[in-house]
Amino acid sequence: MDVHRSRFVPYPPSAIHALAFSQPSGNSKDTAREDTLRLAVGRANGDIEIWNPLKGTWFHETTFRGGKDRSVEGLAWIQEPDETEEDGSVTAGQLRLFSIGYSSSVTEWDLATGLPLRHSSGNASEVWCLAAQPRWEKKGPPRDGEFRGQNIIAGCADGTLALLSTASNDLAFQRYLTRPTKKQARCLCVTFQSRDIVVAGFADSAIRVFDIRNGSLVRQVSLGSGPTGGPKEILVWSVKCLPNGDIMSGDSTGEVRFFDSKHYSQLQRLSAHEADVMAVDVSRDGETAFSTGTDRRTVTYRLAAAKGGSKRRFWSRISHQRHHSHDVKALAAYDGKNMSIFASGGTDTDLYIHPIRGHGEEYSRSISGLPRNPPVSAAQASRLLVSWWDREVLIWKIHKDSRQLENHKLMAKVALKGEENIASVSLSANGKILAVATAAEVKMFRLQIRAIPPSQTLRIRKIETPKALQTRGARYVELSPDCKWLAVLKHNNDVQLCRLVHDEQGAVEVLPTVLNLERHPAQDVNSMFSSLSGNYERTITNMQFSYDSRVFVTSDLSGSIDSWVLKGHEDVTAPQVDVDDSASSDSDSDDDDEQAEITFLGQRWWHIESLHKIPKLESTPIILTFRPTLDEKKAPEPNGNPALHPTRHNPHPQPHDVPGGDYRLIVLTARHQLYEFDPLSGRITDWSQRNTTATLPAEFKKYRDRAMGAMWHVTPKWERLWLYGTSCVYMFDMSQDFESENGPAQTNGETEGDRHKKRKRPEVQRALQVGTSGAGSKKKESEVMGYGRKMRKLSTGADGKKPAWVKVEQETQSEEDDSDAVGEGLKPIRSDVDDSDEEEKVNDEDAVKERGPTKFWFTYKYRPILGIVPLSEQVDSGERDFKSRGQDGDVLEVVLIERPPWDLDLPPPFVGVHERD
Amino acid sequence: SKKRKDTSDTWALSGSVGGRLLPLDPLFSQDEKYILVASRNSILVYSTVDSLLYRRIDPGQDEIVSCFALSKVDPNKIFVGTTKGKIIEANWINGTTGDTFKLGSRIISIAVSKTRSAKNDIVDFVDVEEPTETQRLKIWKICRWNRSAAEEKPHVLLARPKSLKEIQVRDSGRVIIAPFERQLLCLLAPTSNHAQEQAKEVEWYQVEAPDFIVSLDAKVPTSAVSGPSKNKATATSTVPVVDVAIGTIRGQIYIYDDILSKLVDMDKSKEKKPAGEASKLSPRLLHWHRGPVNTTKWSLDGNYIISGGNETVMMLWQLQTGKRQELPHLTSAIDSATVSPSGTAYGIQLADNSIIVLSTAELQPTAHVSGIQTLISPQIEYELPDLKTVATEQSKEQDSFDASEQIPALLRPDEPNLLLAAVPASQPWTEPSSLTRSKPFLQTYNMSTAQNISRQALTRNNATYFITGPEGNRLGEPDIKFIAISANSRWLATVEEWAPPRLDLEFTSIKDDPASMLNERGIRLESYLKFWRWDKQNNEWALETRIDTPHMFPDNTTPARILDLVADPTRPEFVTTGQDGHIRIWRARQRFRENGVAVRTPAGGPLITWSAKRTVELESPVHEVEDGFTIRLKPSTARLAHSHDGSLIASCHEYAGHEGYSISRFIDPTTGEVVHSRPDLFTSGLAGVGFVSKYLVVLSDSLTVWNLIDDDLHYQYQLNSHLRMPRFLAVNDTSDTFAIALPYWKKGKKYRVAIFHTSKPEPVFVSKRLDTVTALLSVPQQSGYVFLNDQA
Repeated sequence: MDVHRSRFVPYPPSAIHALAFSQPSGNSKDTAREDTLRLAVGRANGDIEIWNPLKGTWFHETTFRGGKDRSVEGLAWIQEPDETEEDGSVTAGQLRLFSIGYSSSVTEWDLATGLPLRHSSGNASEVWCLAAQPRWEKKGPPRDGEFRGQNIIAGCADGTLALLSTASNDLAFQRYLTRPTKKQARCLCVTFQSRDIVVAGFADSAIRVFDIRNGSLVRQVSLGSGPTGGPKEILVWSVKCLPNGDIMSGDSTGEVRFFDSKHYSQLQRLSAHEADVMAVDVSRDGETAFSTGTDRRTVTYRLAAAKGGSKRRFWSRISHQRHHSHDVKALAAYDGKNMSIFASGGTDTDLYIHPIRGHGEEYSRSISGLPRNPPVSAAQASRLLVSWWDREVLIWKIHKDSRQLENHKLMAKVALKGEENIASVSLSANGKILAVATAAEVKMFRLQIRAIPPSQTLRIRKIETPKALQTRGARYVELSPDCKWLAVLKHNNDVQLCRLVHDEQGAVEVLPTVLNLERHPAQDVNSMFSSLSGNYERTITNMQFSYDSRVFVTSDLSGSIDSWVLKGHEDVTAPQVDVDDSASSDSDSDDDDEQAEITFLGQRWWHIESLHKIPKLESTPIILTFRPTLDEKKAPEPNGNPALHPTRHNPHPQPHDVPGGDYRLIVLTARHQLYEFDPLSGRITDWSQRNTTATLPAEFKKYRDRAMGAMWHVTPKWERLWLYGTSCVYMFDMSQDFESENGPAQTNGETEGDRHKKRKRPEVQRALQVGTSGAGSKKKESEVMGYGRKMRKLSTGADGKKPAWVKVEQETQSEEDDSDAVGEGLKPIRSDVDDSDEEEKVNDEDAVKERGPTKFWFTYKYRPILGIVPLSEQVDSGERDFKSRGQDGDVLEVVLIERPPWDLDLPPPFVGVHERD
Repeated sequence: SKKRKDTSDTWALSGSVGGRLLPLDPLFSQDEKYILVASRNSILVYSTVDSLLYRRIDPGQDEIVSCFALSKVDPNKIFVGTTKGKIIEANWINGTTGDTFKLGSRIISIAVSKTRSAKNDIVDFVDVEEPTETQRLKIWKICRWNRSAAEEKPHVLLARPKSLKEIQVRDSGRVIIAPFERQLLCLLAPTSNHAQEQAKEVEWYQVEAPDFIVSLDAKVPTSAVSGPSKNKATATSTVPVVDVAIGTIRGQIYIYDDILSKLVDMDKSKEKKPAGEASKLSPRLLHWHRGPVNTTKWSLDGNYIISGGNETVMMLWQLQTGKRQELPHLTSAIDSATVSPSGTAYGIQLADNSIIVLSTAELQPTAHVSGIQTLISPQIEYELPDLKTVATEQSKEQDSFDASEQIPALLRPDEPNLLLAAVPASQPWTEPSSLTRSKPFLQTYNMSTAQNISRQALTRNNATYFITGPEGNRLGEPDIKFIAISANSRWLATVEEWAPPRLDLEFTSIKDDPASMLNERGIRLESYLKFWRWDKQNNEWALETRIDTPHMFPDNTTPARILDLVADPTRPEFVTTGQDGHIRIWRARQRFRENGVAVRTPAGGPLITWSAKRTVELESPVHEVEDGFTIRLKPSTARLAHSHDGSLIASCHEYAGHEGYSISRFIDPTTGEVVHSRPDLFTSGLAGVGFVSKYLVVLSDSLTVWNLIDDDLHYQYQLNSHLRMPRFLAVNDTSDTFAIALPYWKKGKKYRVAIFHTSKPEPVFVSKRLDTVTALLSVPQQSGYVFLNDQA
């Protein structure tokens, strides 16, 4: 593999400003809510990322795009009250997400579309903080008319606290708890002590307690004046309430204080940080607390046992660690049965997941701030590389000769008008068409490389798009490999296909008629009633055309895969668009009418019937890719007039020729299960039956970061699938079977559905999950802080029996897991053998002959990876000289884009960089 | 220690004075009026009111103290452990020693508790068995010995081949906490009565420590010690609450609350293994120290921890608020600390061989006690691991360039009891000891009263500053190489040297070429000759003149090292010689204006400057390398001596590697002429030269006594010792004697001091085996000698 290791793409990841878990820390009985546990990550560029912890797997589900000058400064989830049906069954309430930015409004997001749903601007002042009321719990006899939802409280810059009602699925201003004070002390943080009592921290060294039922001030707690030499007022940056009602606060003096729940008297103060404490949080049992701040430390506190007869228990500072490389701004904890973690994030854009229960015994895990949908794309033929962020698209040309100092050139920079950030960009394989989607519109451009010696320039011209694309935005666009189809994913998860027509001069026209693809209805009825709305589950995250552009597949968060086949043969003589509205009464309807059968140039997309549908997968597919075939057996092109022309009896003839190609769809799910399907038959292939997830190489199973992208490199010798995540690159030779560790896979006559059930919770999950609380893996014995968890008794008795070690820990992990804690961002990931050697081996012909082609290979050498895109092996005549190695097609050439943290353009940290760790 | 010989016909060795204090916690007496500390030779009881020595308890002939503890039954009694395996009972009030028990082979730590009946002391001690033929390893044993059953042998509780520094016994002997390198062992003794304990098998809980433990303190909260008042059965069956704080070699302090009951719980529940149980043992972490935490102690109420390390800062950690208080700029690293019984004072032992008592309220010193602070090389029983720390980097720095042979020390001619010696800033026990540590301070010590008089910085120093360079190397201080005092004790001359550390010069020198490094450092040498006037009002030496680079090579750019400095016994004049081969005679000169009025200093005294009165250019030998190429040799060693009447200077120059050129010259100090020279007085290994009546004594690989009048050899010994260790010569004109200290090898480096009378070639006195001698001095106007050894 020829790697252009590039850092020239100036992708700026965005700082984390807010974190919120969709569920409060539940009690140990309530595990159901962990299924709907999501982490919302609010970033400085206005993006909100939704992460699914998935029992410690942590994969990115979707991103709600922000826009210009938008930022997410606070996040809150609420859940509508559960509804009890008449038959006693309980329907979980819907989850709703609210955010604030640098504005006076509170925004509610539509989880299904990823767009803002409604705003509430009750106040002219900027909203600084928000909090959601705790869930209603059944206590005593139900009272009539009692509000059971969760209201939102917002604290503003002028010191007001506004109560917003979420009743009747709305967001409406209800009342002010306080009016602006004379001093206009900002309300910096707010939290609920109970359903009725609100605790808010202000910038005038005060914590005030309010009763939201009548808006009265229950108590004002002063934190005193600031330290000598510093500002007089203490800023209370963060308040949280313990389960027993005690209040924990973090302030600008670097102190963490605890206040009594009833009398609001100060119980204890701990000076824990060297600079401002930005965020605090507590565990479910109230025995552990954490704080973090601008000194980049993450401090853990624990409630010490009562001593000496007195019942009073004191908090003690256990330890601190410094994971982040920059100011930490946000903290969120979830402490449930299977997961016990808290997340932290800040200016260094990385997300860290720390263990609560496993504190000191498990690693914290870092999740890179780079996006999981690589914002890079390449056109293999024209060697163009496209990268995008915010409202900008950069187009680069990559030269073949890596010996040149400057082997890349910025060809063009496209800045989009409007406020919305780019959601998706697709560059056609021939590098001539560029499609850009934002929340407002879909734009298409035609790219032409013009050689004006000594350099090449790129000419960009806009392509007229149908009205349907101009007015509404999209989440995702994908151009088919033959550049004839543009797939557009709308925000409401409708998939539309546009037909592109090329003329001889290369001009491109988009046919105005847009085809709406119909998806299978949600299979799982339960998901319709889950607290994450069924529409959210139906969010499509992947779209993929087959190599001949005749099969199109999509996958959604719920794990369903829909596929379509293009029937018929292209015939330029056939009508460009032939709408068969015979089934529909409204002949004028175009994109809204799902029933209309549309034939484009004699071809029509056919939705694969439920009978042949790919079964729903257990977890979300994160990678869809078709296995390419080297020797494409071209079906003989029918001569003459292949398309069916309308006749009198059949004014809208339907083509029925199904492409004869061999389509094999590789699917990698969020649990890193690997399947291969035949999309036409919906069956799992023989290869996949032989190579189950369990047979995947152990190194891959241990990898914690999820794969982000895939590439193929197919030669007569091998069919290599390259997968990469943020820190790792893997290679599988798919032409060979993985070695089965558990003997040959059983091939009795089970139905596929059964087989899937059997494969639930494969080993890879077990290896990652067991015994950990959802953050990193277990620490090595030697790295555990404090005394080892082993203890043994020595005795001086004469019985001579050897004392045995008593390991005071559940025997949960096998030895090999102990020794391999890969995937951690904090400790150097085990250095793979010599990278360069290994790489040579991969390509070394002799070695291949001796041992057969390498089956599996990986490296941790590159990280963090923004994206890897393959470049063409096609050689232009002028560049043939550089083709030195092996036969044609032996070398896969890729551009690997890294964004190391030191390359980020971050402001100086609050606490000086000179400070030693 | 310092010993001297008496003058009478028979020479004898006197007792030692001012030895190094052992790195043990000082102990307060119950009324806090006295503080007890241990040196190698005795237990010293100092008053905390006036810092004077109150009592001194000697364990007996040839016994070396290793540890001591106060009796819990009789607060006037102490138990002293010795390296010969004895435990000695003594009464520190009246100084009487009581019974002596031979209980082990080498006792290194001792802890005393009392039985529940409070009638008898239980003595737990650590005994070290040297390897034998059958047993290859050193064995550390924890033994328990009940004082009441004195006849019985001590009962071994544990024997391990891992080193152990101390043990802590709590709760009437029920709990023993012992740090074995990286392990912590806890004993919860069975709750039987004292008589049966010994027969029972005991069980220890062993847990792996996070790092190498250098200090430990266990505390039983005061409220929990309510033993006798409660029902005895319940009091003994419950597990006592023990909080343990440990300090590690990398600077962390870990605090374990109630560790013992957790261990017992873990042990009981080992079949069940409930989840989350393990995290209970997770400690609290306090991390401020960079280097080893030499001492960690709980305050009496358990709310604070005090700790000290090599940073010269005493830390007070307030556990509940997370605040910490710092008491910075103690003069030296902290070796150990104790809290007084009432909690009103801290006793802090500093690494410069001194002890201060601080009041806990104001943190003001109330008492200060110090021994001789010269360089030491103690034997530490507790073997520290070889960490890549500042200190080890420092020791790699050392090279022969700086190897000083004799600790610069002298006795004041007007008050021969006062010892003046160049001392280092601090020598903490956790850093590898080295006799090449730089010595920027001058200590004045009264040998007759065993009192520290003063300590004064003679060079710039960084005793209490941030002492680590960017690469983690220790910043070096200038080193006092020579001191000399004028006959009237008014003037002191000192020579100091400083060269950039090797790390900083690596880029300039050829790799792996020590000569090139030596050369580069030589070019950048800073060498000062300083003259100090005795300031009677302030009782200190006041700097009068500083001569930068007193000796320079003929190229006038490269500084030359000074090889010796002597004072004229009659006039306020000093003589130096350097690598440039010259001898310079320095003289004080009063400044006058042109009109003849004396220039006065602002203080009113005459303005005196020192300058070179005369420079004697000695001819350097020219050595012919092959092909007629010649080089001018530089002297590697030179020794000067002034004749007693000040009429003659003897100078001996040795050229390393070119023995044939070694030469001795005699110079008239008034004219600066070389009146005579002899090549045959010594060949190599020059160590000292001195005039005794009409003889010149030269100590080198041979001992030569030369009759100056007859210009004839009086007698000569060939010394067969080839140990590369310094030899020492001191001459005493009062008694017509001279003394030499010679190294020899017998199970380690040993020294022997011999005293010769000029009349006969046999020594009149030969001492027994002694520890490494670091300086040998002659007592002015008296006939004795004083020597310093590496135990100070």
